[in-house]
Amino acid sequence: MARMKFLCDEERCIECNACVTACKNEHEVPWGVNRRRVVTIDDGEPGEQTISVACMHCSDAPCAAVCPVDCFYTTDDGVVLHDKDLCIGCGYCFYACPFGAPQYPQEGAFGARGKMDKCTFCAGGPEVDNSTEEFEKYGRNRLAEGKLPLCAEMCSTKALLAGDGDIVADLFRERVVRRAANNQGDTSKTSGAWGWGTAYKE
Amino acid sequence: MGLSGCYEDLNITLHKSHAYKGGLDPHSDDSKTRERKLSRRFELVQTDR
Repeated sequence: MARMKFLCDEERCIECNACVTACKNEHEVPWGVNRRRVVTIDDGEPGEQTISVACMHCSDAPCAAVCPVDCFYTTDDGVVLHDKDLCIGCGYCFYACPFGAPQYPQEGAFGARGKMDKCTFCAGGPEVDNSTEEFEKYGRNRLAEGKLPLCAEMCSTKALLAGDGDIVADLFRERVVRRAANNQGDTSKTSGAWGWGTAYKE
Repeated sequence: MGLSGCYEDLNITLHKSHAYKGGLDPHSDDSKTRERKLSRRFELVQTDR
């Protein structure tokens, strides 16, 4: 059974934010919420790295573990979704998430949180596929149309990959091996996998 | 009248934690069909030309 995952290849990411814009436009994401964000480390300095971050659809989702109303579920594809009708906007999932994926549109006075909103892997939610109710609450359901998340499909450099984890991993492995081969034994250059040189220092 | 406040419902609802309580998510395709379609789409759109 396929397990859907995202992978952002930071060697290719050019910080264009096409993924962010595509997502916001496609799903008509409320103001103040960015389901996907592009994060740059050491911005403006040599060796800056950029990565696109959204919900990682964890196999053992901490958001689901801490939810007091159990509004999260995982589909057969491994996509982590939630029911906004049950959500109470407590914010626990935001505290638990290591990626800061759950976000809250500002609704009401005194900074009250609205219902939690997050990346759905373009898989909608617990409403009839491609219905108006589903679109209004969760955005477009591209998976039901046989399409993959728009952020990955719009990525200008194919840095952001989204699909079956095994296929994505195979593709990324090929890229890393090709980059290592291109570096031709120059150990001052990385093999193409971020942190490889640091994690495996001799 | 005085005893009306003493009534207690003895049918307790047990809350099973970590069991999803929301609505059903119907999928228009079965999982095998969806997997096939999405793999083909990945090859078409996300691999290098």
